[in-house]
Amino acid sequence: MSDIKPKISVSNLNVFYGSKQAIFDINMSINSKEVTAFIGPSGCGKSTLLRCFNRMNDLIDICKINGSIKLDDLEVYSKKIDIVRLRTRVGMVFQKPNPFPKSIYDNVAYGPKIHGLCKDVSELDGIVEKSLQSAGLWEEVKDRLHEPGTGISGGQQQRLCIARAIATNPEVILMDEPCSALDPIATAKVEELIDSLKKNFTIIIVTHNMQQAARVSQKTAFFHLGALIEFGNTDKVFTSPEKEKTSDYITGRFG
Amino acid sequence: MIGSHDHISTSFNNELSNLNESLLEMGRILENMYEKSIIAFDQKSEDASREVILNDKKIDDLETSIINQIQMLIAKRQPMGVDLRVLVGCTRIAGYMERIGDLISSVNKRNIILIEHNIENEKKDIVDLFSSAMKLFKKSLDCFARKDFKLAEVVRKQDLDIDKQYKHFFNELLEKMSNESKLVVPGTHMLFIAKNLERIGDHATNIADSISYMATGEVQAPDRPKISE
Ligand SMILES: Nc1ncnc2c1ncn2[C@@H]1O[C@H](COP(=O)(O)OP(=O)(O)OP(=O)(O)O)[C@@H](O)[C@H]1O
Ligand SMILES: [Mg+2]
Repeated sequence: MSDIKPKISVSNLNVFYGSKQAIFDINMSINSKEVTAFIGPSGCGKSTLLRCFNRMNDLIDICKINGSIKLDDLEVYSKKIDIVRLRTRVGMVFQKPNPFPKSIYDNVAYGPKIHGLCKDVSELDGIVEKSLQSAGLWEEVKDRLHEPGTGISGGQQQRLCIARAIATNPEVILMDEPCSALDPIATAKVEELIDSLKKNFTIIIVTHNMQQAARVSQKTAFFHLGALIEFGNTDKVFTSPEKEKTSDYITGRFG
Repeated sequence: MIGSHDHISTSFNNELSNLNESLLEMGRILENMYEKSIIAFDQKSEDASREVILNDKKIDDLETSIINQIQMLIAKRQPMGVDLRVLVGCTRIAGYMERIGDLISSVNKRNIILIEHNIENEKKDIVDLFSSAMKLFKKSLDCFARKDFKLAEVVRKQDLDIDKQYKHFFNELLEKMSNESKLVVPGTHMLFIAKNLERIGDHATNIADSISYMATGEVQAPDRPKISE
């Protein structure tokens, strides 16, 4: 365990919204090319922590952070950091599918274009196709690439957002309840996708669905009131967790 | 059941307590069958043995009902953690109890055959085996009723004594049978009865192991010391 270098290391992290503290002294390491699930009751700070990894919290004025987050050797909250570059390395997929009001093609091409990741149109075409392939969406949309991204089903839109996230070839993909608006079939497809993506990406997924966390992740972190209560192998967390709080939560005994 | 607090869902709590009740019911019927078997054997009562054999059907039906309950619970609740372990544990316990029912029933089938034989000299040893296995089985039921996994350790130790008793009886009877040919037929039946009682002891131990599993999540119980043949 100790000889694998973590992709993300969090040390002594505290996060405040104004005077209200949302994250309390969190220390954890996220392994590379694994799926880590964040679980815990509503308001426990999962999204807050997730947003720290690519500094999405910067968009919230009252949000203040102390402690350290490292992406490999890069100090994420260093003043010198290039935030745009950081967000290409750490991509994000949100709860509600949010394709841009552009064509399917442009949704995926947008990132690589603005970050100058391709030198000509044929290379861009290649990235778009490959990303849609990886997101398991290519066959379904290849004949309608120039129709609006908002004109496909919710499940397809979510996979489009995943294609968009992987088009810039990030190292980490953050997903905040990516399936909560999807039906079981669309959910199964996204889960299948997550499984295949972990070969190339480090994935962190927030989910309220315990079975989903158990299915897709190798590590699970359970949070309560802004603190990390338990963090370990998913197999163990869902069959015999160490902490009573975790046990109460995953079995629906929380009161 | 195991697990300190109630679920938020009261119907989930109720379903679990119904399942628990079905297993306790299965245990009570088995205990009853078992007690009657001792009397049937001791008093050479064919009627009592037949009654026990008929009761085995109830055990099979209860097992089916328990498996159905567990299936529904898994489908509806998608249990995690201790709930998952309890359901896996209960599935196994129901299976062991069903086996115990079969074993008791087969002991009684042989008892009916033995009624016409003279087995006065061996009777006491078999009755002793009966009562050792009974004690063990009752302890394992108690262990389940109280969800007391420390008691499981006691059950495992006692199983060793039964194994010893059985081996001793087996060797002695075998020797007698080789000297006394009219003992071959009843002796063979008695060997099987003794073997079945020893197996009941094993299943009582399995039940106790399943209870420790439910409490701790350790699937593999530590190796049980074996008595060499
Ligand atoms: N923009 C914000 N301004 C002020 N407080 C916030 C803000 N966002 C979150 N909080 C507070 O921080 C705490 C953690 O919220 P967060 O959204 O991280 O929880 P969560 O675990 O993602 O919950 P959910 O499961 O409901 O999405 C909560 O108490 C919340 O009210
Ligand atoms: Mg959230």
